[in-house]
Amino acid sequence: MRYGLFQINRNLVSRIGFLVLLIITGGFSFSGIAGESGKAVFQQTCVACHTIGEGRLVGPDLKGISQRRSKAWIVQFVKESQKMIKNGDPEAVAVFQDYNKLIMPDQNLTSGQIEDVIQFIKEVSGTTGLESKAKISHSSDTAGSKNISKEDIAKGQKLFQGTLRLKSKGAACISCHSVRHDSVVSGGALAKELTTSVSTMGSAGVKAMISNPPFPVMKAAYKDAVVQSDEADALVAFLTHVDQIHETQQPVSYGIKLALSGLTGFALLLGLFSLIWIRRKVKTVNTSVFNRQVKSESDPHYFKRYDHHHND
Amino acid sequence: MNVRSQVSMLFHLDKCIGCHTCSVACKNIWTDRKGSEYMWWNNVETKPGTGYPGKWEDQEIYKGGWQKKGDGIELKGAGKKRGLVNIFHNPNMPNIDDYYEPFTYKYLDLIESPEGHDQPTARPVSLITGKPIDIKMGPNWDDDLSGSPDYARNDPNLKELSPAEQEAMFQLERMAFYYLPRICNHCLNPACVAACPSGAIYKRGEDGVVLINQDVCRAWRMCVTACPYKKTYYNWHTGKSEKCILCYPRIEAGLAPACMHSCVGRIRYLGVMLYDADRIHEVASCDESALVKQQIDMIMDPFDSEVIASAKANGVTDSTIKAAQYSPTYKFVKEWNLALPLHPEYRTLPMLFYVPPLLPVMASMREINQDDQKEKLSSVSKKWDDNWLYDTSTEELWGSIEQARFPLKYLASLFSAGDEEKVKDRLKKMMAVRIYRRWKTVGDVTEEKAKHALRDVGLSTKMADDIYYLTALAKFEDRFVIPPAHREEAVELLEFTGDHKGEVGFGPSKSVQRGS
Repeated sequence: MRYGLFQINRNLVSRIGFLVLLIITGGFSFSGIAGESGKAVFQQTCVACHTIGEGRLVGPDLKGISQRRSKAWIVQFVKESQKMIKNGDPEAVAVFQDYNKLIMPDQNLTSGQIEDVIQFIKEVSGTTGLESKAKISHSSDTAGSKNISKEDIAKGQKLFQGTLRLKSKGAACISCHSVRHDSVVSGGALAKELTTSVSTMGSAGVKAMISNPPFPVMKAAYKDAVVQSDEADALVAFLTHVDQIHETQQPVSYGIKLALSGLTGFALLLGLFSLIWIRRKVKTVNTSVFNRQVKSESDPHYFKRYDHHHND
Repeated sequence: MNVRSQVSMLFHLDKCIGCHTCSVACKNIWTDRKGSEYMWWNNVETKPGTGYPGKWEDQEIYKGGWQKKGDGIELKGAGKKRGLVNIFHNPNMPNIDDYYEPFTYKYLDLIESPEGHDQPTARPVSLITGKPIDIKMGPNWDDDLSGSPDYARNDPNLKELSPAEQEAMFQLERMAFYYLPRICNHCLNPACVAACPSGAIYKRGEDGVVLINQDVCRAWRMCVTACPYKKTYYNWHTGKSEKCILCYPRIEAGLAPACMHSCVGRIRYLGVMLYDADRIHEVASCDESALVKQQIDMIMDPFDSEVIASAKANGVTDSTIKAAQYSPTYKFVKEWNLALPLHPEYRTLPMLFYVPPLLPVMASMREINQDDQKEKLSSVSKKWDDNWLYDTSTEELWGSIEQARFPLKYLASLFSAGDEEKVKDRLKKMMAVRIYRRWKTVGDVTEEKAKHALRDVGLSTKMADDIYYLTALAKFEDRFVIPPAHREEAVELLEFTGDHKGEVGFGPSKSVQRGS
């Protein structure tokens, strides 16, 4: 709920937050206030994929980012990374290639907020790793290290398919996602196919994305229904399992085979119908009368004959 | 005994000249609306011929009427099980081409076309699509003079005739035909009523007219296939089925139905007949050879006191019973045994009757050896290609009927479920009356021969005189004997007339406003 409040209207909330902070911490320095705001934004938006000084997660470690890139470049990349890659910005393309061509979702943040985050990162980058760890609560720090049990996989599958409801009453993953797994049929096609999500993003990254989705639509969908940590673990376990065994599973196909099976079924039904009504009256009883008639539109000589006569 | 009354029409086919006035009168009154242009509640078709809609008599195509099943009967194409299976797709449904696509002409083109090299023409346009069409068919297409081979030789009634007999029928010298006017038969055992899944069709209690309730009809069109006479039609515009209503609004007001009223040849007779409704099931399921006799037996004597008592108990009014006693149809059908129902083998117990035509039967055709004649003829210019002799001379009294040029088998297929004797019996009676009248008026036949003829067929001179009168001289009041409806009874169904005592008139009227 803490995040949820912020996500209702990030601009409004951050402004109110700013005012509140201003009132409460009146004596703090200006930079300190900026740091607090940057920390909040980083916590709710960036932390799913990025660390500061703890190595790469889904995306790169942001320690010392302000020394490697210009402030303007960072602001633009956060706002519209896809556009930059498309426009061929060499540094953006390099990062995109480096990180398995994973797309960083465009963030709906103001330039000021992004600058606050950069400021925050700069501050944290200056301190030791231990200190930063104390400051940032990283939701993925427990994931991945656990052993995957069969119970977890089974629970994860149930949660994924929605046969077991998420405690937060959020929508089941299958509404939008699909995986290649023989016992999971008809996954949604609204969002990413998740078969190899764990090998692409790492279990920690996946868990972070489940707990704190960085994608706008998913974020909106779970804003009042944050997935709890044990459930996220089970889902990660299931997705890891799916990733491991996906080579041996039937591929999910909505292509030509679906169309062909539909057509075959249609043809079978037509055949069945014509068998049931095999004695039906097909043509008119007046066929013999019609057949001997000359039709003005179908007789090619009709008009010619007329024209010839006319010219005479 | 459960006596009810039925308004029943009789057609004297010898008098029909095929002018179609009845059809036109009916169309002008009832079926000139959108969606009903193709309907001919009354139509006149040439026989032999396939009729309208094409081959309506072939129940292997349309699956109309009833068929025997064990001791009882079942619908041939509908009924509970078969009807349910086919309820969304009736496989025997006639389509518009079995009737014809109704059309009109663009008459305005004749007067509004710009000046050109050619005469403007009025192109035919479909009354269904509104687009120009090639007219392919009409209600009497290929009709008359026994019509084209496509029309006449596909007559389902020719099935029983040998190829030689059929061939002979269509040779120019012996070609014979007659007209068959048809309306709804207002059957006692109507297949349309039985087939309707919505229960929209009913047989009216007071006069037996079969009607479709337009509010209840749900366009299943089971009646269209179930009626073996193809006399219910589907209105594609209103989405309801319609049929001949025997002009009941006219009958109730004491007027003859439009078809009858306009009939030039005065071939139609309309009268009341009383029948025993308890016997319907028994008669409809009896053996095919007994169908006609049983059906005529069902019609009760209107002078019998028991019959009258039962009729009164059923609410038949005195005026109706009196009309039944003077009924021209009763005389033709029951007293004189001169009429037959159309296709009784469909087991719907049709209550319209036909006096079979004597006219096409007048000359005979015999098979003889023409070899002597052939030798006399040049092989180039002329040759005999048949062995038939067209013969109008008769030495014996009934010679021309027994060796008729028009096979009795054909008439029997239409009117008596194949029983030639019944047709022959009717024709002989008509011939006897003719011989009797010839003795009376022309005098070239001896009295002895005339009386002999009547005796042979079991007619008294009184009966012969009556037949002659009703056939040739009858006035409108003799041909149309139907009492007007009792309005007071209809009103009493709705309300108690005593409620209106002191007010003006019957019926749902407003109370009179009086000055203050």
